Amino acid sequence: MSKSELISPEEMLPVRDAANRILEELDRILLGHHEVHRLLLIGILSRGHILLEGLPGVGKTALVKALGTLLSLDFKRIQFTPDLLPSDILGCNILQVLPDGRREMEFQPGAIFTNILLADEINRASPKTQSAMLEAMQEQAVTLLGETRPLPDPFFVLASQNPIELEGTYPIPEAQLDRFLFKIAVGGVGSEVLTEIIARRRRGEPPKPEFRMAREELSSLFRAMERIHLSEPVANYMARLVTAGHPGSPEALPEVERFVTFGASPRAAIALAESARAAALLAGRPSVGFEDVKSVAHAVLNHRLILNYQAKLEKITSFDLIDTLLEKVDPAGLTLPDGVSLEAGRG
Amino acid sequence: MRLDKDDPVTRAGHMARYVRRKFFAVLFLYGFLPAAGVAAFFGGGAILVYRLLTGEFHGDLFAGIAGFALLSAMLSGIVFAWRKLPDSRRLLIWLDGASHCGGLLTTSLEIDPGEWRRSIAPVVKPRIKFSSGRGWVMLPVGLLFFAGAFLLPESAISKPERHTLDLTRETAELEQKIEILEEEALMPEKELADLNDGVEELKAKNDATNPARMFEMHEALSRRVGLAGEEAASRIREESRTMQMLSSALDTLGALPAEQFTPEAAAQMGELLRKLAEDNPELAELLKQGAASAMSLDPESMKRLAEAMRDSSGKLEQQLARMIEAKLAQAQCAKPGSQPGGSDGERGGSPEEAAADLAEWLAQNAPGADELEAAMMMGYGIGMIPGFGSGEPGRGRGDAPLLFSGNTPGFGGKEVDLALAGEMDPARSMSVQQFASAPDSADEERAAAAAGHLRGGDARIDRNENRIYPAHRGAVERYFNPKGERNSL
Repeated sequence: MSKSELISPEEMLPVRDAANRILEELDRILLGHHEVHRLLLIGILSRGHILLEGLPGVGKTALVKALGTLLSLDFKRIQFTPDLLPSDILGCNILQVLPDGRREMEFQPGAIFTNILLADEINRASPKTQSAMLEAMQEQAVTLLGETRPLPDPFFVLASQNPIELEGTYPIPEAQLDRFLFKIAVGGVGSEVLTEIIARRRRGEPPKPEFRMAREELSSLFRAMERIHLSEPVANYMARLVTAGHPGSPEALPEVERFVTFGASPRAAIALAESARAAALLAGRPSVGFEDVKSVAHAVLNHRLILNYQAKLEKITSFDLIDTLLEKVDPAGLTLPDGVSLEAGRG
Repeated sequence: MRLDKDDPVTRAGHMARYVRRKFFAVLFLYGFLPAAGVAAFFGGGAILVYRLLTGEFHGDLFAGIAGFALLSAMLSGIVFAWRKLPDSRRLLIWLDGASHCGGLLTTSLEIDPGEWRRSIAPVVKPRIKFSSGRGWVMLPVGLLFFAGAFLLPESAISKPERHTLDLTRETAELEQKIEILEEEALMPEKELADLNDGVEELKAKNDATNPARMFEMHEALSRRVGLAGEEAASRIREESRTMQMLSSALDTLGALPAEQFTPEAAAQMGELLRKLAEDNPELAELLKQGAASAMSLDPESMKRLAEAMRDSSGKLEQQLARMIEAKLAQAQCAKPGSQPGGSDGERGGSPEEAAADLAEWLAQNAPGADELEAAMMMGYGIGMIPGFGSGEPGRGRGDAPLLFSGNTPGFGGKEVDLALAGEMDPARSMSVQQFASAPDSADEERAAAAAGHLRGGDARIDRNENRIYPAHRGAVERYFNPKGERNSL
């Protein structure tokens, strides 16, 4: 990308409309989850994997199905169980008898060979199976018997996990959680939304998508993402947000020192930058603004801040700490003396 | 691309500079207020110290200190504001975030936003919040202190009365002594001038800059003045005694009948007067004034001369008393017998003692003047001196030691040995004196063999004891009570 040129408004307009059309369609299909839909779309535009956490029946699977249909992408679903094997996901070589009577090993691709993989209840599979899939997520390829096979492009893993019924589960290690761009909490909906679902949808089935985005359109979205400008001050703000969450760093906040065991990795800063670009694209802007960073900060950082027992004791969540980081880390990096502050006034 | 005043980026730039100027003012106040408080403390402290040390009020100087403190505080505020002032670029970035400009303002710092300029949201006018906290408290407290130091009444400012090395009192005492020496003409003028110079130097350098030297100088001056005083006092005492002796002698001689005051005695007296006058300016002056001619002593002139000498002696005693009062000389107890005319039993007051002293004095000052001495003794012998030759028993001096052999001093009677008879039982004797003394070295072996020798290291002492036996007691009782009346001794 040429640094001397921003994407023009004429170029930006169709891209923004296409992205927002997907978002509107998702909102139409699944009611009451606009923010989840927005983050999900941002995650897709950022080419990141997403962990959806929510109770059963809140529409996680339906959401992923609808997204796959809308984007004209292949979609597969695996229900993770404790006896699930890596080969069930990745595929394996099977001995085949050829018509001429000879025998040879033939690779049978697993469910991972798709564009969108829904890994349902990922924390119920054994660590071995989890790690096999998470490695594929990172490398965008599968290696079996010394042969590496690339995964389809684009490739997204949308995993889900249930925050309750934790007995017999294998919590995903923090290092592997870091591979997910977002961890999005899918909550319930209000009574108004529920009323609408009950009244208008037979057996709660979501309506069919009214359009499917062409693959070329999706590619243009990805190309537009490359042209979103990230200025140095905004990049610096993101870097300071991440380092301020590191206990022991010179920029760490007192709250971080008290409640955080490990801060977010550099991968988090990259994720923050990518998702902020996507947020800017959704907003139809050619550059990343501070508000874009703030809009994705919770989804990017909430599963990357490892809290200590003091935080659990005082019922401090990672969301509380991210709120504190956003409040106290100044976007411009102004170092004002205590007692002097700058506040937004009249327009 | 041509920019105009309505360009959002240009407006944002103006706003950033405007905010920066406001920031400078706020940061200046933020730094200035506590600095002014501190400067007020220092300025007030300096004024207070100056006033306490000197006790003076200099309005101009204090106004200068106040001005300096104010300037220092302003300079501190400016330096603080300059160091903390954010640059316009950062403020533009802040405006981008606060105005939700979507990063276009920050992007404009790197590349030209081009057509996107039109879509940049108008920047908000920010508010700068300022709360100095403790800085606000320091300023009024500092100003109050400054005002207090400035307005403190003169009466409350007093110089310390003395400090650790203050020699003012000692110097004043020294000065008084020298003044007496000067007034009484007891020292040569050159030496007096030297002493006065020393005192002036002592007064001028009476501070803590060189305490050792000051003390040393004071001690040297004190020693010189003390020696001069003692020397003068000794001379005055001697002159006074001479006057007293001479007046006593003249009184005695003047009372003699003309046939008993022989010309030889008169010549010897005249010679004595002349000789004493050589060393005694007072006496020489008296003789010069014509109170009496040393060579023609008649009863009348001797009487006048004795009177003049007593006056002179009185003046000398007054002079001495003044010196004693000024601690130029030390007071001394009167020598026993130096005051003639005392009654019996009083220390130094008996006529016998006066006669003995006069005889001793004559022997010292006029050796060989037998005629004069004989005339003197004759004067005493015929009872011209009250209490002598009146027929009453003379018992000697009241404070003379009690001896059981030899003559009691001042007792003119003849010694008679008494053979005491009676019981000499040591068991009935009474110890009247125990004393230790050096052993008799002449008979060392005998002394060593004697009982009661004590040894301590190489030294030896004899322990002695005097006891009175009943026979002794009886003799004493008979002496004091010859009629046998019951009495107790």
